Amino acid sequence: LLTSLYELGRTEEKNVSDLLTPIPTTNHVIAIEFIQQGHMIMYDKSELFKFNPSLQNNYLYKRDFSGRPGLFLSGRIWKKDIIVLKGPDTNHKRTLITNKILWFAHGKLVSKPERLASLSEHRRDQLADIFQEFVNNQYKIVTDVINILPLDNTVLLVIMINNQFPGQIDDYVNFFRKGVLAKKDDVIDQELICSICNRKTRISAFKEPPIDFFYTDKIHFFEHSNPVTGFPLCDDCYLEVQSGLSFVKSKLNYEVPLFSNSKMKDTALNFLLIPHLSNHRLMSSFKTDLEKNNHLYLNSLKDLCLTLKSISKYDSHQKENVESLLKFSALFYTKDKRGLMRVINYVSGIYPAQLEVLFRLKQEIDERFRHIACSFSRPQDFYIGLPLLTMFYKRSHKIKRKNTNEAQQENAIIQILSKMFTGQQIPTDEIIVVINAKIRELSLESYDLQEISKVTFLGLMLIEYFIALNNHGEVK
Amino acid sequence: MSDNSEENDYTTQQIRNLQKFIEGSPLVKENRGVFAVAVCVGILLEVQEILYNKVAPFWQRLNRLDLDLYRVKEFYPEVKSKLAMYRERKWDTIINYLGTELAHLPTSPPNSNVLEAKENLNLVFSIGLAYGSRLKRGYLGESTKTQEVKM
Repeated sequence: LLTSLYELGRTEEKNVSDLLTPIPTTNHVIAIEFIQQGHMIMYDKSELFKFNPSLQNNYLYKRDFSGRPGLFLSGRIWKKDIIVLKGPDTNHKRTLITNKILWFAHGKLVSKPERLASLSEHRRDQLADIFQEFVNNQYKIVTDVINILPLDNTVLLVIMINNQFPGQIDDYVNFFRKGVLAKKDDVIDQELICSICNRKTRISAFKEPPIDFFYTDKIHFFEHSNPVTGFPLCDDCYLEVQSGLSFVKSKLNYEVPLFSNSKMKDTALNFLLIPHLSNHRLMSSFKTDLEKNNHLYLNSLKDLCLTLKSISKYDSHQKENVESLLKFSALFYTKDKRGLMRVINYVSGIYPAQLEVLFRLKQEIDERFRHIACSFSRPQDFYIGLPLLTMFYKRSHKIKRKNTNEAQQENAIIQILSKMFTGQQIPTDEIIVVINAKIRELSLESYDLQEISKVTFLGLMLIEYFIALNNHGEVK
Repeated sequence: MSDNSEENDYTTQQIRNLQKFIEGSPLVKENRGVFAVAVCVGILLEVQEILYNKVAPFWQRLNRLDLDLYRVKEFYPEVKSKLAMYRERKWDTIINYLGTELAHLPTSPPNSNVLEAKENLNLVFSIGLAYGSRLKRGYLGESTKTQEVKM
């Protein structure tokens, strides 16, 4: 996994974007604008901007895994918090104002004076003045921000100084880069062999984890919290891994909607498809294909995971060599209550040809059931997609059942996905049991033959799809 | 006269559609006898729902769709006699055709994989019910050719 991320990162041209956290779900940015008047920094206004992914470098957003909205001068506010912030005055709202709007002086990179040592005096004073303005003008800042806060899934809140975002000021970019690559103070560096490049060098522990699910503070990862000996990583490889991971998270990150949990929150199962290609030239072609071709099967896979719709166009890689030498592994993960990544499973041996088979057979089944679909008022629901699979695993909250363990169901879905992706035999008998349970559940709620018919035909489509996948594997 | 011939054409088309559906689905084909009975039951449920203007009474016989071969075998003569009682003659030809499919019903449940066979039977029965319901409502009327879906 690490070597592949490293290889993927190596082909990137190095810039600050490798160190940033991708934010694909953000639509808006709120800038809290400060202007310099003589020696003084004054709060001016807060302004709402459309989020532009190509300007991501300007915002210098990096997630802080300790729980603050961000690492430096930008942070993210999630929808659930936006709803509270726009709502009536409560204790929770006051806490969120402190933690989500007025938090900047407590950002990890600026919270202690010694961390600011690498900044020039002018910039240190500038930051100190800005943080003082947050204290002096907090009511106005908070009111302005809340007034323009849109009800998006997530909004980026960032500081702007003299009409410039932090990423447009070289001093702050350099400071941010140094901060992200900073080492832990309490871990002594040692001469070790880097686990990726195999070079012997002095290695210390990075403050920011190299991969999202690598929590160095967890005692069961490393005794005495010493990640250096357990996972030695040199500076160069750290950057390459960050860059590779950033690419995978923005381009090869897939989401399958899952069932609502007991608190009626929608959950999702996510997976990263990590490409394995040892040839750098081919890796470049692979990345170009992925970025330029919206219909590349890897991009179409997002639709298969997220929606029920027709996918009639899916392209292969332009260079045949890429196709024949490429394979993937899937890292299944979910996000916990704090939004932290929890790895559930890792599956290797996924080949492009098999992923394309998923689309070809989907198309066949979709077409075969068109006349049935047209007999219903919403024919657009009758397409093969992974939400169909999760729909059958979802249990009604009205009906308490034995063995309705969400974790088990999630695990069962992952097993099926793994088998689909790797071309192994899918246990259709288990899926028939699940489909029957769903139909019975419906018949317990009402004797609506229309609804039962719809679910039954969807179940038939799903099972025929899996039978077709199994038969394809046998023929191969 | 022309009305009768139109009805015959419609029924012939429906039987062709049914055959095509059975042949096109490996799961249904394997349990075609059960599917045939369930289509008849689906038609009856729709007839009863209109007749009684409430939940069809025959639902009580379906044991919440948890069935076995013995129960399924009992349904066909019951459905036939009830439809005759309601004077629903329109479906006679199709029901009689489905009756010929009953020859494919196994005489007894398999000795091995009993649970798996039962689950398959129940799913195919639900598929048959759904098909019968769509058939009775006239939604599967025209043709099984691929149709354009308006999105």
